[in-house]
Amino acid sequence: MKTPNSSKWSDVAWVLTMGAQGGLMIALPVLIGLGIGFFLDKQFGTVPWISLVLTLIGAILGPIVLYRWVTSSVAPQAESRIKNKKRDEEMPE
Amino acid sequence: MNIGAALKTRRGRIILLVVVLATVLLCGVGVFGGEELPVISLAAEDIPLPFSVPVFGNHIPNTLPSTWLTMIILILIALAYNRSLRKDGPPSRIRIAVEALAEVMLDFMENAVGEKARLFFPLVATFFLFIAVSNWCGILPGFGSVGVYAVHHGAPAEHVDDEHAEEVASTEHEEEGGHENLALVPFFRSANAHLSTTLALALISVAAAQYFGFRALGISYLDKYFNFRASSPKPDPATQKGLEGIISKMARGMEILINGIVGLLEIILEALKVLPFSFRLFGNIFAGEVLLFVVSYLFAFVFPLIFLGLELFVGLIQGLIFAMLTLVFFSIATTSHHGEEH
Repeated sequence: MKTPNSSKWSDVAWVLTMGAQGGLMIALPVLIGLGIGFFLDKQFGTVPWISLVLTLIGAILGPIVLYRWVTSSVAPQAESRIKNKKRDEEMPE
Repeated sequence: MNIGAALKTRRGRIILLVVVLATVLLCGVGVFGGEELPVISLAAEDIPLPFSVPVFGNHIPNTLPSTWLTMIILILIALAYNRSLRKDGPPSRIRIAVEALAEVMLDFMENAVGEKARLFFPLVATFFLFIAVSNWCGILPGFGSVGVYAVHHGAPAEHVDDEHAEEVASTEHEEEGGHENLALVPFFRSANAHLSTTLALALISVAAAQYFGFRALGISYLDKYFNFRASSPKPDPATQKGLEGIISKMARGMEILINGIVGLLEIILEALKVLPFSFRLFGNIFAGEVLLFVVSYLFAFVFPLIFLGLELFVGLIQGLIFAMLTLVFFSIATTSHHGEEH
């Protein structure tokens, strides 16, 4: 049983979810890189070099991983959602 | 409440004025009325126990009782539903309520992933119910406010060097009126305001995605991570000779290398999924707790109501986001590379 109202809410939740996940995917690698780098720097007494390098790696990795995620997972899902919606509109049960 | 109609009569106007004045007075009475701001600790506090329990020793984190409370609520509802199923006659209220909720959730999931929704329903719905109910439990009276005075592991004096420890302890002694290094440890703290809980939920979610992936695609699920095949055909030595042959071989090698790197990225992506999952839930719920602490400290009456409403909403939305994301990951894991669904 598919009702138009629940379909609308499902779309809202889907967009909200993807936004929430994507946003953190950019931010977290940078913070984690910084955290691990700072810890290692403190251990070896090399402030700020390892932090700097790991933060940079995090900053590069974040967008790459996000791009991979969007192209491999989010985009196909969005396409299939649009296709399903069109099909439902064309053939009402 | 129709304010326009109330303003037309003299009596209505007086009642409205009294209500507004009482509200303002209540707000005023509570402003900065709190004696002591509770210690806000990022980690869950330990409740001291008079006896020893396995794994934890003689203390347990205060998120554990909240987790049990959530489990008890959900299990009791499930048992009541189970009992009502065995009764003859018209369906009872609890049965109608539970079935209506389940139908709404299933409908929602079918809209998102289609026929596969029924396969994922038990786990995803449990995630949603557990997170939403435990978040809502977090704003019950008594959470974060009723507890015992105990040594607070989050207190700053714990991390001070030995030289300064004595000095700091003595100043604290003067400031806090005898509670040396002691702070209120609440019996209950919202279950998801503990990173271990959210991390466990995230790990279950990611591990279950692998399980569903293997179940749907078999061993070919591993192709996603270890892909050393090229899509282009193998160069034919008969037609491609000399430089052309070398170039086509190199292109093929390049493709295999890129596919390998992409597989490595997929592994990193899978591992990274756990972090946003757990940090988002923890961050939102912990921030909500701190917000409620501070608002209740500043304004004892009326204002916290607004934020309690906000927390109800945030709790539901976080449960929804977690369940939806889990559902999407399950759906992706059970879809093969070529877009063919199993």
